[in-house]
Amino acid sequence: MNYKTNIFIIIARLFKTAFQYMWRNIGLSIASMTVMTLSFFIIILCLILYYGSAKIIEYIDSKPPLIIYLKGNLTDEEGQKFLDKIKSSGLNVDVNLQDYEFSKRDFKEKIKDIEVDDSVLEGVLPRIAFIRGESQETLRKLISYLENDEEFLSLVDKQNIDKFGWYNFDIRQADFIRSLNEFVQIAGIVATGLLATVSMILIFITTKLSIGYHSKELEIMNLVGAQGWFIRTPFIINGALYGLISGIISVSMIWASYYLITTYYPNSINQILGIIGTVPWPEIDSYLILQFYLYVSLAGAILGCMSSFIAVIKYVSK
Amino acid sequence: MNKNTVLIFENVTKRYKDKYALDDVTFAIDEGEFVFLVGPSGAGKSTVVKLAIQQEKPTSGKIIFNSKIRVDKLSGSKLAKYRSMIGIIFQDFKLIETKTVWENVAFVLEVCGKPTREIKKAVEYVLDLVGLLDKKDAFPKTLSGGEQQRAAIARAVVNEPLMLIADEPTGNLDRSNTWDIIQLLNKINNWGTTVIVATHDVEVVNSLNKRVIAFENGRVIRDYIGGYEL
Repeated sequence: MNYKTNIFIIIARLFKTAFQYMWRNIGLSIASMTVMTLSFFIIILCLILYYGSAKIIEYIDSKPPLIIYLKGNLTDEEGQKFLDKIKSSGLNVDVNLQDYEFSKRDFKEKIKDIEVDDSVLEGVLPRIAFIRGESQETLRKLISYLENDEEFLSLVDKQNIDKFGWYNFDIRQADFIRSLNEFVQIAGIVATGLLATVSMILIFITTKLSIGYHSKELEIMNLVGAQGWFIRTPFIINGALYGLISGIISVSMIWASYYLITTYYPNSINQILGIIGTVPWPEIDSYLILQFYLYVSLAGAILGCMSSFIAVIKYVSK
Repeated sequence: MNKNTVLIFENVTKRYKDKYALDDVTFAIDEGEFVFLVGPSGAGKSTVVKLAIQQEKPTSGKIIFNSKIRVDKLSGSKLAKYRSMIGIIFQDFKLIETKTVWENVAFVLEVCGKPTREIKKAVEYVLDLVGLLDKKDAFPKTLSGGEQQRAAIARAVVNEPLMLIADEPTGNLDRSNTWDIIQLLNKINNWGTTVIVATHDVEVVNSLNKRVIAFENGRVIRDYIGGYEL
């Protein structure tokens, strides 16, 4: 041959052929991509549910669940008495008795924009003790143990109606989120495996059908001197494109759903969980969206590439 | 002037189970020759074509192209490269139905990575040569048999092959189209391309007075210049 082979021209032609194959089997291509898109959508949803619930659990765990309101002018001796009382319960709990400064900070945080002078708050707020137990049940036992104890009652804030408080979360909701997280973890792995396999099989079948549809064309290509890789590569690109496009569409669907929910139903997650005002929506910035697009599309392309490669090896003769 | 030998069949035998399609066949074709392979059905002429383009491999013997390439030993990318150095014409045209005339011809150059501008120039030239420039955007199904074969010839010669092999190129054509195709092949030969035509069409052979290799029962029974003599 009297001319130089240009790699970029060849790559462009391989892509052109791949798009032609896709276009000629447009019905099959759309069907495959639809199923793949739905599969990816469910997989991403499982991932989001898993990581979302893990975040909520992290949020719960980062906050001490049980609060005991003690009197504001608690002395060191009384403080020690309180700690001894807890210890005498025999329950495995960690106690964190905060100083009065904490109470002031906490109060200011709650009233937010209202300016309050420190002197006004002196001695009027309760001292706060955070109790973290190995389970909610342990904390319930502790409450039962303390609530009728005279010695303990002499230490609590008389002005406060509630001696005990749950910090942000109710036990049932917290337990529900934990079970949800465990369920999504197992179901997510099963669903991901299953749907990824379904997607791969689908691309394999689509590639196989496409090879069959173009069998005469492939024979002619062989006879006129097309290299094996020139014949096979468009099918592999095809598979990769199916995965790539499905990945992009599924992330777009997730993003659109997120946008719609947060715009029109901003409190929906809290309503669902029954924890009003406690769980903030996760921050979604453009970098995170870009990362999502990149990873999901890449995973789709690799998946598509692999299954079409297997089909090509099996059905395109050398 | 010394001419190179383009194709050599050296003691080539092709056997299908107990039947010999070719039996110890030896011949050589020089550069620039126009050769007819003739004989009745099953004589072995199509087997020669299949072996020459390595659609099949011989049971024994050597097939040598351009004095250095062992065609019977080729595989993979070397076989693809060899096929891109020769032009092939089939009785059933073997055009890609989903491509236009232009795309069918351009495709041969595209697979080699030839620049688009050069492809345009070469395809335009050969389509003009075969008289199909005005039908460049037509799909094969919309063309007559003669036009389809002319498109196939354009595809076969666009890469400027050293050798053109045609298996019954006029088998599906009427007399008028047959004559057009033969004239076209003769024209290509006159420009220096070696042309090998497998046919059983007496009139075609008689019309050109070229070298004839006659086959019968898988053997070469005559190798001469002239008309159809079986």
